Amino acid sequence: MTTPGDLADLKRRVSDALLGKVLGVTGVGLPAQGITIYLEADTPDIRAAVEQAIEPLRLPVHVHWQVTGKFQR
Amino acid sequence: MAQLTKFIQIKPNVFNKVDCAIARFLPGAPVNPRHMPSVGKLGSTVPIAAAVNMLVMKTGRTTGHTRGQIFDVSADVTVPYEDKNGNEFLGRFSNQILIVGTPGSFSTNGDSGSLIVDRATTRATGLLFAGSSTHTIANHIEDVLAALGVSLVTA
Repeated sequence: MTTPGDLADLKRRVSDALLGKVLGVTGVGLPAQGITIYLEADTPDIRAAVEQAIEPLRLPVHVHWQVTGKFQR
Repeated sequence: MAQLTKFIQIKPNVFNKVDCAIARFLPGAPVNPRHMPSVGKLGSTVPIAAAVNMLVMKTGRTTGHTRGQIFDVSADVTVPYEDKNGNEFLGRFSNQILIVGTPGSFSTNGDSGSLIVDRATTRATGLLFAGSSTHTIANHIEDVLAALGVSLVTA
């Protein structure tokens, strides 16, 4: 069973693998069960790049996708 | 109207927690810091922790009074910034609040700095600083108060 602490640790590892490294990823969060990856747009190229980047992590939880658009100040 | 007294520098290549600043009103400034239009006074000087599905509201400079619902309270996000030389860098933030508008957009450019308030208790829960057309990003207000070394006031 995955505890909240486990999820927070997983989220940080996913964030380190994606944020600022994979174009089109705007964030990583925990709004529901599993991990949610936030995207500028849901395209096959972005999903493929994300899946390649997180594959080595072998995540034991479900990955959700959510389109946010690009963030700005 | 006011003089900047403290701000938190956004650092590249690390996870930041807040993007905030504070200013002291100059004498005679036509403002009432204890009252937010369409929101009123805070229900308490003690913040309330943000929670998924919490119903919130804010009054902002651009979009005025809007309502929303918290979608995430622990999102790590990236937001583009410029340094003092005009060079763009990506600011990374950890454990942020994400909000969606109910209905429509919760915020847009120019709303940064809006205090986000829990609709049920009128207690502060976040500080708006970025977003997209569909999602608003806010710092947890406890982190903002700690970073700036300040506290909330009511009547």
